[in-house]
Parts: sequence; structure tokens; C-alpha cells
Amino acid sequence: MLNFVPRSVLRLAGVVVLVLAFLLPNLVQPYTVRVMATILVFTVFATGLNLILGYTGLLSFGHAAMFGAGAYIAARLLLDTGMPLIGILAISTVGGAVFAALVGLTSWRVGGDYLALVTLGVGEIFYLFLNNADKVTGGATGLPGVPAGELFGWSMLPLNNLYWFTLVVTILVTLFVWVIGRSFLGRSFLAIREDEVIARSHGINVPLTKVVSFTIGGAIAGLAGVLQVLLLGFVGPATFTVDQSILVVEIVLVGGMATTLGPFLGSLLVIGSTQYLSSLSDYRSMIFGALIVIVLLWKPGGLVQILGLGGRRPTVPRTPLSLLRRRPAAVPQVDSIETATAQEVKL
Amino acid sequence: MSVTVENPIFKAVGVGCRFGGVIALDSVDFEIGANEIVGLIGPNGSGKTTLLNVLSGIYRPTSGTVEINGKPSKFKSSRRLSREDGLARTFQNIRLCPSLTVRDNVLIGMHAQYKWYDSLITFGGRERRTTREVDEILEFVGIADKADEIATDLAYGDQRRVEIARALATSPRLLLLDEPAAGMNPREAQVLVDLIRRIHQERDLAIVVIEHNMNVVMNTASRVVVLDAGLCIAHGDPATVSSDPYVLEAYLGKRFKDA
Repeated sequence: MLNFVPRSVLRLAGVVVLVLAFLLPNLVQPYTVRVMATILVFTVFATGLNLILGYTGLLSFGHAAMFGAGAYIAARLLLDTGMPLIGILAISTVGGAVFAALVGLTSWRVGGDYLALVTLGVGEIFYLFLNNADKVTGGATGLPGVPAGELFGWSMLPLNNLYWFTLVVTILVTLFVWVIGRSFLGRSFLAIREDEVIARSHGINVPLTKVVSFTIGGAIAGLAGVLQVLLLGFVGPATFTVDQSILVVEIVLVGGMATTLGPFLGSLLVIGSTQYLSSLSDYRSMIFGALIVIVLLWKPGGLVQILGLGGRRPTVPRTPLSLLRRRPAAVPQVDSIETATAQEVKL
Repeated sequence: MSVTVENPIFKAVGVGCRFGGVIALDSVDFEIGANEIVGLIGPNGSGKTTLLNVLSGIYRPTSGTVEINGKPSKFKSSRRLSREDGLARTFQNIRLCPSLTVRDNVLIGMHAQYKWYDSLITFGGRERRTTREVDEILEFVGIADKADEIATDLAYGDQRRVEIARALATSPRLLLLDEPAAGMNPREAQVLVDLIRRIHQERDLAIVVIEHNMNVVMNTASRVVVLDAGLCIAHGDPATVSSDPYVLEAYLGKRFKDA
């Protein structure tokens, strides 16, 4: 759509948008700033999933669990200890990473739609855990009244400060994923998404790389969880249901898989529309369902592709639906009687 | 049946591979010298690709032993064969990463020489160096002008070359080509023969070519191995093999044994 615009103009427009983003609290109502901060939190959250789903091609429906892990760790630490915010950020990020690494280990055994089911189960179990472990998580009521911390003496209580902090984190995370996407690690993610046999026979450690992808994605989700707590001042199980995981999958798909700007554009549309078009909320699922079908069938690059903002070097999967029917490695099923050894060598 | 090769970099003794009741490979002895081109031929279903899959660690053989670079190898995974023993292969049905550019496809081959965290730490310089190496390889196989196109948009013959380029990017010591000339017309096949010879001359490596196109095999291989029904039935230089009565029988049937 914007293909006719010269790239230099687009770059300039990007800089203008960035400056406007920093000036936003001076220009608009606090409500808009709050909505924008929510959109940025979901951008960070979706950026983590973009590594797992967009780059590595592993369909995860349990991403809200890592988001929730980060949020609950941060809330507990803010309530119980006077730890500086930087430490809380670090611990929550590591917490999300460890949790995600454990979930990622299951990808050694299962792939495609089976992995989607496993992660769906993890998300559901995590939700039940939040509801029932009253002592730690506060049960169904959650943990209200979480104080906003201080970052190097800079209070997170005023909305504007928190907005700026979220904006900086979003930019840093997006840059981080951009760097990964251009590195050897990013390319091994893409190779695994495209064809595991090829990845393996060219020296890529497929199981390890999958777990690394899950770990980094989970760490970013944990970070997003902290931002969410700071923004809401409250955590409750209802924020971390499987619905939330599906919402973030939606954001990644609509925004554009394996693109740098996709998570931001996706959450701008998905979260923005839930905030401003609440009169249409009954039809929301219908509209986005149709949008996802369109994206999966014709525009796998999502909004990034539709707007023509993609990079010179394409990373978008051409046939996203193939993520679900992951073909087995070039090995026939082996009858077990005498030849259990003629199986595919796994690692 | 075994002809001794000096310093074989790869040696398989009595390798067999069964799938349930199907005997894909019965017992095959196979040696590859450090710097030779071996042709591997045989009728359809004779076990050529199975042998290649066993060599490249995709299947685990059910019997026999394999030696690589003089060391007995417990059957290694294809990842370790690629990283540690310099083994690279192409596939019978072209397997390229369909959404990525030609250059990215070849860059995937570079992973055999690098660790996954490499360009996270030294971002930039190493990436530029590998990109330059990839451009050299693309130049070498003759598709440098198509480096930024999506791999699956290329013509069939060019896709084959991308596969070969990707295998070369791992800087292999042993290159396995599975029917590289399948679906090519005679002129394309001739270009391929030239390419294989050039790879062999300019890079110090051994090549195994599986092929049905006799022109390609006879013009490249210095030694030919013939498989039939999972057994090695003939072995030697191209001229001897092509007049071997067992080979004629395997290909044409008993009636032509004396032809």
C-alpha cells in the first residue's frame, strides 16, 4: 500500500512517529496515554511470541503463562520486598525465561499442532494454579494494590513516567529482536521453521535452538508482565487466561509473522480496536477471525506486508498454515518388530 | 568385492538397513577415498538413497560398521557429521527453504562452521565476512546474479545449484549428491557435469554422485559402484562396470545378459 513511497520518506516518517511517541503525554488526554501504554505492553509481549511463532514456527498457545509468571513474580516482590525495580525486572525476566525453557523442552518430543496442544495445556494449568494457590497468588481475587517501584529514584507512579519507561523498553526489545533476526541465531530459527531436516544436516542443533527460542521469547514475555503490573497496579488470574494467549497469537498473525514492526502494528490494531470500538465488541471475534483467515491465506506478512513496510530481505513464511501440519522428517514410520534401531536419529 | 582405496575418508563394512520386513540395504561394503568422485548407480529401489541416508546420519543402519576419517564411528547424527566430519549432502527432491532468499539459503549452510551465539556477540563483522564468502560460492556455482531472489522462484536447474552451493558452504570434505541431474535436459546436465568437475578440481573434497543419467556418471566418476536389491553387485571404473554382465542383468533383465 505504501510501496510507492520512497524508503527515505518512510524512514523520516518513522523518526517523526518516534518523536511523537515520546511527546505523546503532552499532546493527548491521560486516557489515550494509558491506552497507548497498554498497546506498548502488548507489543513487548507479542514480540516475544513473534520469536517463537514467527521466526521458529512453533505454535504456542501458552504464552500468557510466561507473561503471568513475570507479572506475579514482580507483584510479589513489589509487595513483599523493597527491592529496586531494576532487580525486579531482572528476576521476573529470568523467571519467565526459566518457565519458558521448561515448556520449550517439550518441543523435543512434539511439534506442529501437538505442541500447540501441550502449550495450551500449560496455559490452562497455570491459570488453575493462579486460582488455587491462594497463599502465593491471592487466588481468584489476585493481588491488588501493588505499589509502583522506583527506577534509579525515578518514580513509576505518574502515568507519564511509566509510559516513557514502557516506550523505551519496547524500543529496546524491538531492537534486540531485530538484531537476533539478522544473526546466526535468527537464521537458525528460520531454518527450523522452514525445514528441520535441512537445519539438522547443515549443523544446526535443532532441539537446543528451539529451547533457546522459547527461552528468549519467555524472557521478553516476563518483562512485559512487569510492565503490565506497573501499569495496572494489580494482578489477577483473569488477565492470564488462555484467551490472552490466543489474543497475542492474533496480534502476531495480524501484525505480520517474523517482521520487526509486526507486533507493534498488530497490537495497535487489536488492542486499539478493543479500547475504542467497544460498541463493536460483540463482533470483535468475528472481524478478527476473518482477518486472520485472510492473512493466513493471502498476506502471511500481515499488516507489515499489506502496508508494504517489510524489509528488503524477506523472512515472512510463505505458507503459514504449514506450521500446523508439520511434515515429519524424511523418515518413514518404522514397524517395531525387529528394527527399532532403524529409526531416525533424533538429535 | 572390496577394492581397497588408499586412506579412505569413509568406509562402510557390511552395512545393512531394514524397515520392518523390507530389506532396503542387505550388506554393502563401501569406501570413499580422500579425493575421488564415486558414482553410485542401480535400478529404482535398489537402495541408493537409503545408503546415502545411512551415510549422512538420517537413518541408523541395522547392521555393519561405519568408519569416518579412519575412526570407527558410533552412528552419528547428521548435525555432528556435518559439523565434525565435514559431510554435506543434497536431496533427491530439492529441499530449499521456500520463503528465504538464495543468499539466506546458502547462509544456512554456513551454520556448520559457527555456533548459534556467534553473531550475537560480534554483531556485524562476522556477518559481513560470511556474506562475502556466500557471494563467492554463489559466483562459483554461477548464480551470483540471483542471490536476492526467493529460492523457490528460481528455475529448476538453478534450484539444484542453490542446493549444491548450500552444501559447499559447510566447507565439506565429503559431498553427497543425490540425483543432481534429475529432471534436467542434456544441456543442463552437461553444465552440471562441468560444475561437479570444477568443484572436484578447485576444492579438496570427495564426491559421491547418485545418478540415473549415465552420461553424468560416466563423465564425472572415477569409480562406479552398482547396487541392486540392497547388494553391491559391481564395482570398478566406469568402462568395466558398464560392460559387466550382472549390471546389464540388473538393468535390462536376464535375456540381455549376453548382449
